[in-house]
Amino acid sequence: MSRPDWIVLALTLLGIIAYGLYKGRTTKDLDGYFLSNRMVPWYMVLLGIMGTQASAVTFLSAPGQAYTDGMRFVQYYFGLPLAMVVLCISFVPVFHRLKVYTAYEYLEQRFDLKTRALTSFLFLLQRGLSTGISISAPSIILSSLLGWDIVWTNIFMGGLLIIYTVSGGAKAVAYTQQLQMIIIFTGMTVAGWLVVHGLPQGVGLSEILHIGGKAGKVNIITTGFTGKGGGFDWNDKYNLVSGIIGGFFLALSYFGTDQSQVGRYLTARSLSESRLGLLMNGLVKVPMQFLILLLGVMVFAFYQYNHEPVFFNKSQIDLLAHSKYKDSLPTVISKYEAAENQRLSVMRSPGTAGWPSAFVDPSLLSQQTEALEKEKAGYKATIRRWLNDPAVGGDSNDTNYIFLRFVTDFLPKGLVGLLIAVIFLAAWGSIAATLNSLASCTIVDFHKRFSKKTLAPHREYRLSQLYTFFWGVFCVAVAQLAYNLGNSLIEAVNVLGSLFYGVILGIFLVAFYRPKVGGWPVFISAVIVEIGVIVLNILSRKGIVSLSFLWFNLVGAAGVVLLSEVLQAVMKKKTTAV
Amino acid sequence: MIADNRDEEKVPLFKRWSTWYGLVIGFLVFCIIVFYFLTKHYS
Repeated sequence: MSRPDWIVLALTLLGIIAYGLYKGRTTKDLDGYFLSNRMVPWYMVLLGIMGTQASAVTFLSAPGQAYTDGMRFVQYYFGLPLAMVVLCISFVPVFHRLKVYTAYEYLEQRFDLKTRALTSFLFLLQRGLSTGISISAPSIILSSLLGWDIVWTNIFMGGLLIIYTVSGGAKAVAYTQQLQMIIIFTGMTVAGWLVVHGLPQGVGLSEILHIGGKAGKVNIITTGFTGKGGGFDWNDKYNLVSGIIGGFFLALSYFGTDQSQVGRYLTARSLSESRLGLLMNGLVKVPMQFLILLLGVMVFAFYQYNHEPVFFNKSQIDLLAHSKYKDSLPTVISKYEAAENQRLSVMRSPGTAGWPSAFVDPSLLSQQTEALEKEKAGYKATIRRWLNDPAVGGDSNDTNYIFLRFVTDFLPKGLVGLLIAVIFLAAWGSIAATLNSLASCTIVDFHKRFSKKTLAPHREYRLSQLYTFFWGVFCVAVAQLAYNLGNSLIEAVNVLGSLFYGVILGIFLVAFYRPKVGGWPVFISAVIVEIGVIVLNILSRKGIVSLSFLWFNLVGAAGVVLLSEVLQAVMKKKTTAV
Repeated sequence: MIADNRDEEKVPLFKRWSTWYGLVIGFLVFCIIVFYFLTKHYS
């Protein structure tokens, strides 16, 4: 990175910390620290909800996902607006009426203490670990591409935000998320504009979609009926059916029972403002995700006219250069470069692709460059095969490096720093909200609930700060360990969430919709189904069961609802018999 | 945990919350239809 980039990056990050410290001044009690004294307007609730959900990986991974797999990932969000409606009808009014600090407080009133403690514990376990991984995933990407030290990158990614989160609690989180989202949207819009600006004259949005469409990237809607004999493929992660049904249960669980999200809309100044924030999220999320994915297709079109590297993650090429393939690597790279240069000369010659004159006909492009693309794909496959060799131990998944490589290679000085800052800010917004929620559950659901001492409000406030700091350090420590776990960290976050979300959602669904079911049946069901979901995940990983992780949410939720009904009936029979 | 019964608040913009819910679901359906035609047209 150049000096202007470093200056932009440092100023942006320091500015956010200063803004968080300045705006985070609040009353020194739990109401001020965890609920911002319930004074937040709907648009800040909206930005808070979006900022908490959108992690660094969202902005790094999604454009790369569109580049490699197409835009079908947008279907993953189709269940979200439906979940927002259900939340506004059922969950949010109850949380507001009872004036709870955490979602799990409600469960004690509805069931008993053990169910509340179990659910809150599952949340702390899942969120504490997945936040650590969420810090590590973008750190690995940045350190790989920019050559930064991974330990320090983790500390900056997950550590600096602790300053304002500890100091100002939910209020600091809400105000910084507002500013962070503005910077993120500005950065992504500028990046999108520069991609289009870098394309030949005459290549506009329609041509970009034509180029993407020819390469199968505009696969926004897929049905999922691609299994044997035209049947539904249960292993297919992103299609209309799994997006609406699986995505609905995932979003309902995440926004309705995950304290990092519940804590955002509980800060609203009224029930109406909470509802409005959530419904606006339901309106803007799908188009926003569509635009982020469209950016990936734009980058794909950009690389049709510009040099595409054989592998976007430079560090993996360095790894191969020091492996047993070091002698064969230069030959493959030089052959790839020859094919790529030949392809570019075709693309850029007037009368074919129209470089730099007007764009002609996308079908002509594919005819002329098809053979060269096939040749390139062969060399890329060789590189991936070598990286998959256990003796090399590389990462053959290049998806997360595509957008950042484009940024570092083609964006002007200063803007690279801004885009790197966008990645940090996206991570901070999400992590800060999570630390705040982890601390609120620790003090409200455990410390205060199980302690025999009654603390003064200012002591509770100090203790909350201490717990926020503890969770911050814990998550950074997990991030340092996660680096040694392997390469599929992003998927690990999603899978980890799906292992617990379904069961937690099941408990809440029983609480809201099955009034006759008591504490013991739901507690026993939750424990049994949680073990079942973990076993299902192991079987799925070993290939014994063919089921995508998105469906674990449905299995967990439905499992708890059905089993608790059965247990309730059995227990009622026994009680009657006695 | 203090119970608060002030559930009934003024609905912004519309008369009923159900209109908001309809708008959110309707917009999702609209997005899916637009995406379907984009997929058909450009693939």
